[in-house]
Amino acid sequence: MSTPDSARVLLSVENLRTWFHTRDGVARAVDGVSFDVRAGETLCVVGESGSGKSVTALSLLRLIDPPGRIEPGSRIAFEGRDLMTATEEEVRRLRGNRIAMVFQEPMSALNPVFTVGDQVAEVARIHDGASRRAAWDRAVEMLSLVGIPDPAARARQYPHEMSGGMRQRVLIAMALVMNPALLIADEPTTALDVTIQAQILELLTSVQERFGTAIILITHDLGVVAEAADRVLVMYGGQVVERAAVRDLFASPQHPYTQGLLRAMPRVGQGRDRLLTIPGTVPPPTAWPSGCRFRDRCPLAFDRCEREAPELTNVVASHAARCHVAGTPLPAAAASS
Amino acid sequence: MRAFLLRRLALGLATMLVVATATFALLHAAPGEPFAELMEDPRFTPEQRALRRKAAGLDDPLPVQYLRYIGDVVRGDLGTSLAKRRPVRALLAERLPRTLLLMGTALLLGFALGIAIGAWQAARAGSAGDRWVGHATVALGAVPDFWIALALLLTFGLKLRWFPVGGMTEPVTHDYMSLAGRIGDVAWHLVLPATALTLLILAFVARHQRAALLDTLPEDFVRTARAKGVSPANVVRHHALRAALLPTITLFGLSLPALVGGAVLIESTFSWPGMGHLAVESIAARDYPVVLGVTLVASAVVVIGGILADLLMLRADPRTRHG
Repeated sequence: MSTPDSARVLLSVENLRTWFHTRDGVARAVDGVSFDVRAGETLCVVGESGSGKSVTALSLLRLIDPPGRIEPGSRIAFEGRDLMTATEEEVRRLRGNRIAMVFQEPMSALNPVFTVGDQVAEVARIHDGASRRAAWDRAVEMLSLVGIPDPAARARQYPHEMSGGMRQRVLIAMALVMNPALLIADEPTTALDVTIQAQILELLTSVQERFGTAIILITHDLGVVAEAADRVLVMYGGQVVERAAVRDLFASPQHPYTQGLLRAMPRVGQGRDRLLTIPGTVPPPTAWPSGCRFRDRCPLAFDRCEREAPELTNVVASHAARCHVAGTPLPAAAASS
Repeated sequence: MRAFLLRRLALGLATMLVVATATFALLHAAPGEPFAELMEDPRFTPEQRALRRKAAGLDDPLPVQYLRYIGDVVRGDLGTSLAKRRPVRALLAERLPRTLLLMGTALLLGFALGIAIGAWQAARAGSAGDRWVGHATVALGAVPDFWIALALLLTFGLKLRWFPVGGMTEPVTHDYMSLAGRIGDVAWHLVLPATALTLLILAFVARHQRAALLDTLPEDFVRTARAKGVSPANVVRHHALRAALLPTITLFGLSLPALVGGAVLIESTFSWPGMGHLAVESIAARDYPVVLGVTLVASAVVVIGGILADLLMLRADPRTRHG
């Protein structure tokens, strides 16, 4: 990990709040998230369902639909441009071009009535003004780049004629057409079986090496994090609860939630009969508890956690956690097990 | 593909046989009989009437009549009109194109406008424009078919006198017009009946298309399109609408029988001399061969339309092309 270098910061998110104003109340799905992405790095965003990972990703491209809204005061700066004040048209020109996105459902993320070649080629036609012919050639080239065998023939196929792994490669090809500076991959391997997962991760890594693409990789799989991440954001309850370099996170997790996630991870050589779990579930985003949002499920919670919401503070340089006890020697409850 | 077409054709022929049989049974079960008007004509004796009946084969046992009719139809002979004394085939050949002209125009306009309106609404669902157009299409769909026809007829035919009140051509002058003039004349007469039928189709197509598009817009592939920078208009038009057209194609096939029924009504309201008009006339006269012929052709139109809808579906949805 290099030291923070503002010149190389590609994306800077400050106090991002994306709230859904529903009839049942305001769901604060993302509530004050701040982070940077540096050129060429892989930032993993981890957390369980409902932690706000996907909404964060969609917010970056301003793909939030009513009743959802990115609240005033949120700041998203990409390549020095303020995306919050940019017009819809300016943001549209960035999508699929400088910032591309790969979604988690390869089965449904492709349009069933167009060939995959058309769908990849469309990106070049939108952003490059490429002719039908040139765009098609580019699509075939991209399909070949992501490791699809016989790309010229495959380009003429429809999504339903392909396997899940192939479709995910198509989605990645689509995202790479314009050689984006930032690739957001929202659980790109979740719907795939294990061997294919590994192939897709390898593909993303090799793309990054070849083109220097920065990647935001959203996942709930710590195995993926260990394999792919440079730095990690752990999200819980719509907030970042821990931010660290991948090595530091695995070596000394500071937040009780991160510690729980790591304990819940199966490891080779540890002969456990049952996996450990974190008790309870994420509360609904319309009703975060007062004080610390994790306190209901936290083994270390004490009275201060109910009264006072902890801030995200640096425990050591470039390792931050949102916990009152972070940085203090771990009490017995967490040290055991 | 070939097997599919053959199967659909065989199914269509079976459907037509059932329709022919049911119509035959209903006709003979219904009260009244052909040549009833001859009873009141003093120039005809009961003997002459009996002779007519016998010549038309109406005194034979029903099963014999039925088998004879089916046999004739299979050989391509639809019989002779009892009231008009003309071959049924010639009558149909004259009337069918007129009905197809009216129905085809209304289908094309009704579906094109209905799809456009439904898509327009879905793209701004919940807005004031969507709500008002929604009220309009619901109202249009809720009033009886004949009411719309009569309202158009009264307003634009009788009150404003913008368009002719009925028929397909000017009765006297049509034959003296140039070709362009004759085409213009028919088009002029087509306006009101075609508008009435178009409105009926448009109302349900628009409501259906709005719902279909609203079902498609939250799909993942629509989000993918937005994420790759497709403009909002193209997201709706190109990506979502294209997929949301599939249920509309199904609707087209399913709605044909109802449309044939609607065409009968519109034709009699506007005295459009097509098949529907012929059907009403011949039912009133108990002109058995003509009624049977009209029903057969109408069912053939529905069957062929259904096959066309399936072929269209094969073109539009790649997932249906295998198996």
